Amino acid sequence: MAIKITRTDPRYPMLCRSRNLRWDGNQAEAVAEIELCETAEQAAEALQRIVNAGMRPTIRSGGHCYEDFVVNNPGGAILDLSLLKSVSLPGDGTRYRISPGQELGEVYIDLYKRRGVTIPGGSCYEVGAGGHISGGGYGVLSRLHGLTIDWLSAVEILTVDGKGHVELRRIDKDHDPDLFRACRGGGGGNFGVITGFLFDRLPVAPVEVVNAHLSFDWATMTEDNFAAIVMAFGDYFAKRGSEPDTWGLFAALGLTHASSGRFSVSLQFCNPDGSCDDLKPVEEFLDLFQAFGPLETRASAAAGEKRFAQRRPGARETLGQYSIDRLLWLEATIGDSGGGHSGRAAYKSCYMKQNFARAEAKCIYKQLTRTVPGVDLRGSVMAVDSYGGAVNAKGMADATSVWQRSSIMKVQFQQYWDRPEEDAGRLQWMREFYTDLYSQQVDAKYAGAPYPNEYYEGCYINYPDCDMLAYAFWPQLYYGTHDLYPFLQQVKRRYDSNNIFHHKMSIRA
Amino acid sequence: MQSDDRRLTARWTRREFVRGAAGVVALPHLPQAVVAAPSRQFAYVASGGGSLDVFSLRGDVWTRTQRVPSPAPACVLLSPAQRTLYVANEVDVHEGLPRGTVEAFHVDPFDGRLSLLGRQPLSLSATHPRHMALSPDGKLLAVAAYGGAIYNLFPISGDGSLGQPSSIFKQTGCGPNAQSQASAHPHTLLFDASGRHLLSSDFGSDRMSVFAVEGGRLQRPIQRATCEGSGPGACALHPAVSVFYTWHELESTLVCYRYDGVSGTIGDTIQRLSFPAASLHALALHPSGRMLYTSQGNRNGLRTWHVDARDGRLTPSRVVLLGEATPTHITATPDGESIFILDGLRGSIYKVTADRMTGELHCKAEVAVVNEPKSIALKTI
Repeated sequence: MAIKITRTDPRYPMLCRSRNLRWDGNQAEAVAEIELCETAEQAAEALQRIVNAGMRPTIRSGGHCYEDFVVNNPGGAILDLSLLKSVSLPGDGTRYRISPGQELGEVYIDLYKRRGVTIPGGSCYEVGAGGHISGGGYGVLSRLHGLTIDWLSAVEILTVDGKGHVELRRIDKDHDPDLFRACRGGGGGNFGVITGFLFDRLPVAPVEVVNAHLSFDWATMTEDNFAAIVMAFGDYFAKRGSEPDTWGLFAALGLTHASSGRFSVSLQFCNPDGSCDDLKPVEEFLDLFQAFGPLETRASAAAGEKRFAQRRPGARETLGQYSIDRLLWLEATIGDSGGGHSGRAAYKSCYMKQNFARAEAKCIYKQLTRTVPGVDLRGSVMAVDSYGGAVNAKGMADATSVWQRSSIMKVQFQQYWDRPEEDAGRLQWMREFYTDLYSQQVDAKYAGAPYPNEYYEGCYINYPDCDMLAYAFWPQLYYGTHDLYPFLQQVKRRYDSNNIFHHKMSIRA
Repeated sequence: MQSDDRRLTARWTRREFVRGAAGVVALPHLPQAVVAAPSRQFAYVASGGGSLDVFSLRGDVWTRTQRVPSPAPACVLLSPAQRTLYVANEVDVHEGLPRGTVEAFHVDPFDGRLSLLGRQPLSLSATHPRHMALSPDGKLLAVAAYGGAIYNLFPISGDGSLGQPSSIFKQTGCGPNAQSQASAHPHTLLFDASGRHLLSSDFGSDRMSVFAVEGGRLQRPIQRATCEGSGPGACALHPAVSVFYTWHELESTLVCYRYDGVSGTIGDTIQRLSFPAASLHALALHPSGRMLYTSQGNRNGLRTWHVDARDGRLTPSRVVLLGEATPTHITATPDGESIFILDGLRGSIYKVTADRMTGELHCKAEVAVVNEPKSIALKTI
């Protein structure tokens, strides 16, 4: 039996929360209950109860959803899989199991210690595997080994049939192959509740890696130098980065707002054989930026290090002459490690097939140096991650539901802040930045979004952005212009005809 | 699929103007002169053209006084005090999200004109709302979303405006007809006289449900399965005898069920009437409870049924022919003096005079022409 948390339970205020505090605290939108499940059987039983009660289930593994797809579910129920961490094998020859409640850090540790293998991740240690893999599973080792879903052999999933009965399916390329393909990157919360990801094989973990970090001073940065840095980064991945000896290089260009003082380039590298014997690619990559006078060159703690540590706002109170912090117990005890929060946050994304055009670089410079009276834009970053390599292997677009297989860079716009009163100004700046940038090289009728064309491959479903819902073509941004979205709609009609699983950006059949 | 992204237009078409004028001219005994005394009766018609048409009534003379843009209006209801009009907008997208909406309009007590109080979105995935019911005390509005198979219950504030849904219920199910019953489709909603129970038919899952309504919330319903593939649709609840009438569209049967208003359960079948395979479009009960009206399709007119005062059983009475008309919606006025019949295909609205005590029908007249009329409400106070 799942652990049922209702509003009267002292754990409810903690467990109904969102990591993104933008979605926190709206009681009118809050769920009626949370069902904590430790096994697939418990999840099946809880899901059946939820469906029978006419409630809407939303699914949470790590709780890192960028949008309010999980917590804003008025009167509904969160099926919380964060305790579902089993790695036991079914005994059918499957070699590896990842459960949705495992955090990626736990996955890395478990696979490494038991078998010496890994998924192609390497960062975001607190992110739950359920959502991460459902949307594709991309990380620091993806240029070297592809996406996690490229390695996926089978999925265990709870679906709800037309009559409302929950059933557990084990799906693979021979059993419900359409649903299996849909679960390979189609995005979470669409078709059912995934209770296990099964793999026949996984890449061997690197023996060692090197990290490096450069930063540049905004105070002395010119538009020309900025454009040159950005375009040098993009040029590398458009050309040299396509050669397999560089696929072990993951680099991130962290373009912060000028008010932050600096912006940076970080990298992690290993050779294709998992060693660091030949570091020439690292050297040649770092050399690209020497002409622009980086402030410092150092080894970073980790390529995926947390960029912005946040503390929940509004916790400080006074008690007579004393200041005190009011925190929920778990947050006070173990902080972010226990599913804490990221402050208030907003995100956008874009897949890039080509290097930045000069006009794009200038646009980025203009927006990052633009100030808005009364709006603090620190905590804003346009993170440009290297992409391509093994991700762009032929055939995977048709075998999976991640169609973006021609990109060389993947951009994530992120913004973090604390106070609700900053929402409007920050969000407006971010929207204007994005709209401006993606009106340069797209057809006028798609202006404002990276609509698929020779420059862009749309957006990443694991970086969902509800601003895109303003466009009737939003499905094409996330699922392309060919037959993938109609295919996913067909799968939706077949396996979830009652649309039990839905959120703002779920597949609309 | 209809989205409300398009710009609303509320223009009168040439066809409506010509037909409307012709209809008025053709009717006998109509006063041609403009009458000075203001009318206090108004009709509100949901038009498939994306508007609400307001008519001032003087006998059989209907004068259109206002046309209000409204996205895909499918159902209109007047509050018990007739000061607010509620409209279900049968859309599948609102502000980029998959959901329908409901509108609330203030009704001017003197000239009957509408002014928008607000538009409230339904819960996520509650698309294509087609039917609504108001609690007898006028404090709750229940909405059935045919597309998303979700019921929403809205609280109504003192000024008639709607709050956010206070209760959401997701219906799940399907039927054997893969074409039309792939998922649940809530069809018709009715409050019983006590207001403590909300009855519904579900076309997609072959099921009828009775929700207890407590504290502004829908409680988990008591459900009654109907025959597989029957497709329960339009329904009516007898005001005195404990009988619930349901037309099963897919099997062309009219079924009378026993209803227990104390426990809120739909019980045994009292009577089952089968018809040749033809889609019934509409069903309504006269306020006296002594007559039921049905329409079975093109050119078959309006069939009337005597209702047995003891057990609610039906016996056929007569057929009121309506020429070429295909009634798609029937409404009896609360005072029992008129029946309004909408022909959604041809755009005509007919008025049939009724005996307020017996429900027997008398004179009929075409009173207005509206583009795809879908629902009508009459203000009489």
